[in-house]
Amino acid sequence: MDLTPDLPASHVGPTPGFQASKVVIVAGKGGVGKTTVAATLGLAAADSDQSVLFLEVDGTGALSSALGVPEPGPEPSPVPHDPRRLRLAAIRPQEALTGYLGEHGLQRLTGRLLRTGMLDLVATATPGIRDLVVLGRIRQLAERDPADLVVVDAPAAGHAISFLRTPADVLDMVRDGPILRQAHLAADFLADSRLCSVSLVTLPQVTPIRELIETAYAIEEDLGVALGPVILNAVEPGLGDPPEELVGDPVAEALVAADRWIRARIEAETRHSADLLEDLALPLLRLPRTDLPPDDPRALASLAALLASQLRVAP
Amino acid sequence: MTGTTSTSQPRERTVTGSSTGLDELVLSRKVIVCLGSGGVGKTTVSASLARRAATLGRRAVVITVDPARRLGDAMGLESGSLGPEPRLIGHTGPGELWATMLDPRATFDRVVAEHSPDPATRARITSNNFYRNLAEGLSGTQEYLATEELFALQDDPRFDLVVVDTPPSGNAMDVLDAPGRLVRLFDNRVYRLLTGRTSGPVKVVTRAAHRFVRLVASAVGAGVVDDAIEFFTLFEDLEAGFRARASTVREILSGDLAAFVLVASPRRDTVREAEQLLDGLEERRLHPDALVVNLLHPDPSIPLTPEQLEEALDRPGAEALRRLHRRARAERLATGELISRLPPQSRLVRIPILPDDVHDSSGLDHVTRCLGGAYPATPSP
Repeated sequence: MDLTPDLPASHVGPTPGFQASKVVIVAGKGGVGKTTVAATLGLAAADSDQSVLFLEVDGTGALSSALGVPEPGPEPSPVPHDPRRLRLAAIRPQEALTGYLGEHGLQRLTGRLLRTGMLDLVATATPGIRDLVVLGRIRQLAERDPADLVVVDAPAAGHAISFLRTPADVLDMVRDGPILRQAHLAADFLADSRLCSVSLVTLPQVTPIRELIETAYAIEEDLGVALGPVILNAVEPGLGDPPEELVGDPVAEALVAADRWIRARIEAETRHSADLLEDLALPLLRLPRTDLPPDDPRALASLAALLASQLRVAP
Repeated sequence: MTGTTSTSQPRERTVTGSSTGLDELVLSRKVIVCLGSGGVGKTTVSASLARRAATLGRRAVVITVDPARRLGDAMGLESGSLGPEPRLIGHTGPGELWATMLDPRATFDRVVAEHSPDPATRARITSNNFYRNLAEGLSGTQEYLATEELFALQDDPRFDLVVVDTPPSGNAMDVLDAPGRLVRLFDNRVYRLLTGRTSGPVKVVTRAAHRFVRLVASAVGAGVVDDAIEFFTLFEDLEAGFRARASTVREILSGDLAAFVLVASPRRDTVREAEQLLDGLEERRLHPDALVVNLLHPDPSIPLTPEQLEEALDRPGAEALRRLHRRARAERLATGELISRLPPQSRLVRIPILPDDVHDSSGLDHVTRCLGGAYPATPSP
């Protein structure tokens, strides 16, 4: 199968690699294939001999199951695809929160915090603390870990950026205390473009693209977080010559109906992604629709090779 | 809604050509809750169900809790024109279509106002920081507030039917559990200690608890803990009202006038999430009244015999047919088990994907027609 999307050359923007920052947070709304893209991105980097640390932060286990890591823990464990270069760790908000409280003199009370429900109280009472401790843990790992690239599969949320917005919200809301310090640290980490960038994932359809454009502006302008390439996922690959039309031949009719449908889809997608390029001055990477289930290792490997080739042609 | 009758026998079911679709459901129920994971078209299905009800003469309102503007987009409205106050979108004969967007803060403020004993308590609660976090941050609050909004709308004489588009939350069952969870928050031992509402040797326990609380305050900030204590003290007067409301909402959702519509797309990962939703319903002794499998690829090879298909795939220009045939087959495989798990009284509706995204009224018409029972054999591009 031809996996290369057939798109006009003018639509292919410049594509700098992901090496601009050590941490890449892959974000997007539910259903756009964010987890597949995060996995693909790490595999592509490993193809170019980079060492990669995947961070799963949403607690659904989607990334670890896509990568075949059976029981991810807080410490990095090897990923079967390429155990030498790829590792994965899971950050769970509750663990990160007890870890944080432990570091702040409460280590002997952790059990009691959990038992009495105090942890729930702290999590509810403290603005954004779950997101802040998770961001704090990401920052810690990014600073300590020897990996060349840290790929974060952002939490699946109604809105792609609620997680990224938390430090700014807390800075607005809290006047003093340890949480303010945490918020400053997290905000500085997100705003340091050498350390951290965000890559947004979307589908080549109207509504997801419109949402992506709004999100991109909010991230860059309101939050001062650097944006990496936008990834357009599940792009319908191009077609060769159309089938011959023969009136009254059911075989030809089926071929023509299918051909028209796919071409109409390609046309619509091309139109919508042209809108995206017009509205956003960001490099665009495309991943084709593969027709393989997302957890099929062949799907990930072929997507990674394709992404790696798009990254290599970059200036 | 009645308790679940679990079925173990997989059945082959055909709805193609069915003339009823979900009409009976939108005509007979007062509340329809759409459940499904992100990206399956749940908002579009919710809006279309309300539209279908309006076409059949009911006064229907759809409430979306998605913070993005999908519903407005799907209904062909200008971005941002939907607000917390229900808006009349259109009418056919006696039928009316209304839409509204959940504004968590506004809803919570309204509920607090309703249950507050006096304006001063209300003002102190709504300006409390803990309350602000609760209204905007706590996971499950949006879902809880969606049910509050549902309660208000089903009681509103302007509407015969309320369709709820649930948030794409981490925990899919949040919309059912959220009212109970908020009530459980008040049952928490620490809160009781903080507000001194405890039986037994009060003084000793509260003193120990307060020492513990001060320790925690040193790690997260003293203001945080003070705000929480103030909130729970103030909220004591409102608690009974909230508890009563939570059980009323639970009764509505498990009653005969409510229906659950499970929305799924035919991908393996989203089907898995739909199966988890089904598990969640069964655990609560509920069942889906309908399953909507959305975004199915058309398969133009269906009219062909196996020999003709083989011949077709050998001809030049067969790539498109090969793709659609392969996709449709994968989709049948992915959804087979989910469909076979449906209880016998549940309806099944299939909606084919269009070459272009559903983002205008013609796309919405397509989904509405399918929900009404029409399934185009070969959807035209």
